[in-house]
Amino acid sequence: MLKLEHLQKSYGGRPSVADLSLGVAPGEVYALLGPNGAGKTTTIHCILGFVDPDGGRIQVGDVDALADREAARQLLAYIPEQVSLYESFSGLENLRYFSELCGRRLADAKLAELLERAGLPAADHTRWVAEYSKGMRQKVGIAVALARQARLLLLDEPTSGLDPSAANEFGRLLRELAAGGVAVLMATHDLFRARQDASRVGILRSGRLVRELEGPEIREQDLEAAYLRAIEESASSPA
Amino acid sequence: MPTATALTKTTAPVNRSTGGVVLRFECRHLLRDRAFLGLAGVLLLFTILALVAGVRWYHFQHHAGVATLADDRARQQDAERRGREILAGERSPPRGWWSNPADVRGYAYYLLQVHAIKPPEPLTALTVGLSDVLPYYQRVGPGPQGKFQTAYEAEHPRRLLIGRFDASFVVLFVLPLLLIAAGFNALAAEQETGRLPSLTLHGVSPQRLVLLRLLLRAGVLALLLVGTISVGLLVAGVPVSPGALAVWLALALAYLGLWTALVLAVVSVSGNAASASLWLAGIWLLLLVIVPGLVNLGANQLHPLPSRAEFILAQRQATDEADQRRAELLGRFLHDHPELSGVDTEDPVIFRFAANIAADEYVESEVRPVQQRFDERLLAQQRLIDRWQWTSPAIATQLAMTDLAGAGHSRHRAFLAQVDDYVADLRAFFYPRIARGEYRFDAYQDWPRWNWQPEPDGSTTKRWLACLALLLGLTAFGIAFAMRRLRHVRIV
Repeated sequence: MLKLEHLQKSYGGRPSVADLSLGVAPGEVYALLGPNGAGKTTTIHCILGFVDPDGGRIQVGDVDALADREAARQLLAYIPEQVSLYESFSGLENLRYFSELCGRRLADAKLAELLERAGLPAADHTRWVAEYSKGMRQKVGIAVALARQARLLLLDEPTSGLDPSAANEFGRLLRELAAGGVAVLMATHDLFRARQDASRVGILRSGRLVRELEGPEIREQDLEAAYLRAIEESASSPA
Repeated sequence: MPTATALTKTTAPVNRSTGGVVLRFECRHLLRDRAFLGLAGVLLLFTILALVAGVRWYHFQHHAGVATLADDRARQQDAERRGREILAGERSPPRGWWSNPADVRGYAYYLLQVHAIKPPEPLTALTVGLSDVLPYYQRVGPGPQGKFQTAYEAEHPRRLLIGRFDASFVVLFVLPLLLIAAGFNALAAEQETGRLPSLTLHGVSPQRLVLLRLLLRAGVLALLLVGTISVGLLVAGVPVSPGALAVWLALALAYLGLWTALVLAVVSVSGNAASASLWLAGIWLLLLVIVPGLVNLGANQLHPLPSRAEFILAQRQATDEADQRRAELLGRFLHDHPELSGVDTEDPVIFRFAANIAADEYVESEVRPVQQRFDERLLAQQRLIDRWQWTSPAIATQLAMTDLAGAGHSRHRAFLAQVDDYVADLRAFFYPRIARGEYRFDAYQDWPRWNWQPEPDGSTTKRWLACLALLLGLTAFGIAFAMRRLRHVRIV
């Protein structure tokens, strides 16, 4: 569903993403791990078309995202660390707005169903977003992704600042989405959630993918030790 | 500072109906935005206050003119009735000629009450302009005329300083401030809250978002302004012509359009809300305070008006001289008026009155150069301001609105010219009778009447059309510039 080939992006001569290649298949949850400044967010911004890469190729589904940015955007949804919604509107109204923007006029019952599916209790649907916790906002973000019928979901530090139970619920939602065939790329620091939710983990350092772990490897290995080892090895090896 | 590569070029969204969705949502958003509702309330309040002040001023001027004319007519009828009774022997003449309506001297110099009235245009209710400073009526007669310079300070000095509160003031000064307050963060609000990436992902380009948002805010303010003014004038019974009102409103809306474009342009180049608001406040100050102030200062420095003292001094000197040279002046006067040949100057009464006329003419001719210098300087000031009005759209709009409302110098000059012509007509009627000593008077219906000739239709068209073209041109330029800049705005 997502294929990055030799993606490059530099800021002021300093590489942020260097020759990054990876792929995320439908139904897969790919966790992109890495320290601050490793290039995780830049990678996601390149996929979204918010930042122009210096080189490489991005394919979303069958679409060349660099050639047809709008067509690629139609296929994906994005949940940043802080889901920003309109504070003086309810979760339902926010969802209706974003659904209509992508050309889907849904009945209130359908919108409510999407919010419930995202884990937001019915009692909260009509409360103003200004009263929502971060976790509740994330759920509205998931509902927007559901309404968009996105085939690729990009997440940037989605569980940062969530309490353990909210993060656990968020993980459950991700797995449900993936089970429905959605490809998920999640940039995160959260090794615990990566181990719980991801079907594949990529470790990024200085814009380079230094290690990939897959399926049982993630569960069986001590992910933290693997992560630290990969970072140290890549730091000692010549660039 | 982001590098060039961090700026992304957004293209038109795939979903073409996003404009309608955004507009509907923004409408609902505005209804819940207390700050904007407050701004709209301020506009409503200021417009109503301005309308009340303007309408009151218009009605005051209108009724003052009507009452003055009615009073003139009543006094003329009374003088005529008494004069005819005296001529018919039904009433004995009063002891002095000055109170005898059957004596041309008494009638012309003391009993004839005529005022030249410049009736206010109904649009004065929206643009008071100079109508509260320039005299709008003048007592006239065949004798020496009161000078208009002496009437310039009829208003309270404080009011002269701050001017009257009118709808033009609301449009020119208040409306841009409200629009700035409503729109300075049109883009920054989305950038700073982090909603811009989501909106962009949903096909809402920054150009479309900011343009729609500002147009909607400007549209609501425009609707409030136009609605309040139209309903207000209707309720107040001001007989404004729909065409003139439409042009005035078109100027107001074009001016609002220009400020919308300015806000849009500044928003497109500013990195954040704080810098946008500072820039816009600076532009407001420049266009509405600094540039007009400099233009006025320049006009006063380059073409200073002669002092009133100079005028009064010239008048006193000429009056003293005329008193000493009465016989000589009468001789010259009779030489210049061959139609008065045969006047019996040996008769002391005839000599006295004829010499008075000659002296008055002499004083006027001596004072005329000072008067002309004053008029020329005033005209030069106005021409300079006319030329420099294009340095600030606010000056150009104010001048166009003032002209349209007939509350400026051009209509007043026409009034003064008509007053001069009328006084000449009165003199041509009365002076030969007085100079010849034909004092018996019964031509009550024959002396010329004041008849205000309005400026021809379309006399202000050139000015307001030029102003409208300027405003629309600058608006188009501002919007085009902003749209170009917004294509490269930072999304993240």
